[in-house]
Amino acid sequence: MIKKLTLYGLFVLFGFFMGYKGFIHYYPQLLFLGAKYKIGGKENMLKHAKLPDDTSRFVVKPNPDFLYSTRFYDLTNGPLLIEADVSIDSYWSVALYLPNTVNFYVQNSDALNHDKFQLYLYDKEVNACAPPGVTQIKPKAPKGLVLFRFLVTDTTTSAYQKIKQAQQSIRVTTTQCE
Amino acid sequence: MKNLFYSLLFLFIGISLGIVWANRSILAVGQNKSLTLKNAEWSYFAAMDLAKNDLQRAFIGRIGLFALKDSEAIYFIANQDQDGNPLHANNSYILEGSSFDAAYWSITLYGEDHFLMSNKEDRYSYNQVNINYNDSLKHHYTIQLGGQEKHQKNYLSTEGEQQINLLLRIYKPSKALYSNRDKVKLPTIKRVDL
Repeated sequence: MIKKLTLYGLFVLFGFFMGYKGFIHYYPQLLFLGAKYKIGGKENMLKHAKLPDDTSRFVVKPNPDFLYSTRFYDLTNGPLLIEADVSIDSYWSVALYLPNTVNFYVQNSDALNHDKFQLYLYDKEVNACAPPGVTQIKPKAPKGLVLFRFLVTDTTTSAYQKIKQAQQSIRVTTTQCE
Repeated sequence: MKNLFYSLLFLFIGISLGIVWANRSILAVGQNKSLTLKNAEWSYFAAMDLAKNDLQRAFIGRIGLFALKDSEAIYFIANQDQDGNPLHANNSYILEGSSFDAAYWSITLYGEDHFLMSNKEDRYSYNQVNINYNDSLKHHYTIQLGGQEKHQKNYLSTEGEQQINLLLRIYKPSKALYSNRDKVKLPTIKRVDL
């Protein structure tokens, strides 16, 4: 009887350890999938959002000053070329996230000395077809998220229209190397 | 067969208890003094070490999914006033602060679900451009939080029976600001009767 109880106790302990460690480790992945589902961002589909308001329920703590654009990517279909015409004066950034929600790369308006933003994301060794001079990134995982942020401090000026144009100019294309 | 059933049952009980305990641990990160530091009534993270720290990653995922690296943006969160009492939508507060040396900063009000709160003015935040300053040098500002009527030029109204929280975002902070996150003067949050 004691032997049996000890064994069951060990099962509880083992289960507790698995549940505790597993939940903490995989919880961000669940949040990532939840955000993907709520945003409606099927893989390799670019989504532009309007300025967040009290009806925005996609991701917690949205910044009402940012126009967000998202693309959940899957590099197993081929490398991605991300481009945007960012000839605007206000802050913008592009950030890359792993499926565990870690932000592993960010570039902002300061880092670019021209108006055309380009970034090449690849998995495996197929980076040979990246356009010359383009920053190349190989994420730790083939799946992830590209998140653009465009700062809007005033919606009544023509600058806002330019920012919206910059948002609409984002192009994310799957490239195939020959 | 019976033994297998009991083994799986106890394993399941263990996993369930582990998940409940993990959830408690994630919530407790906000009180963990080795991960969450304080500057007056504001909390911030010592380091956004999300790649290595599972617990911190889970906590930030819950309260601020897709946060940026701290080299790009630093975040201060306030859940309480300067007397240590939780911020509540029923109360009124006055925030008094100074601008920050950064590319962009803003103060945003959130409900207890961490989403923007509905209000009559459709005003959820103030930033360094749209805030009304008290001085011509555009340095000092006052924000009224809550209250039935607007008494200050900067007013964030609240609705409902719920706890509220503020997020101060500072993008591309100066080196001095970044390395003095524990000392930088952050807005005071004082409960008032309005």
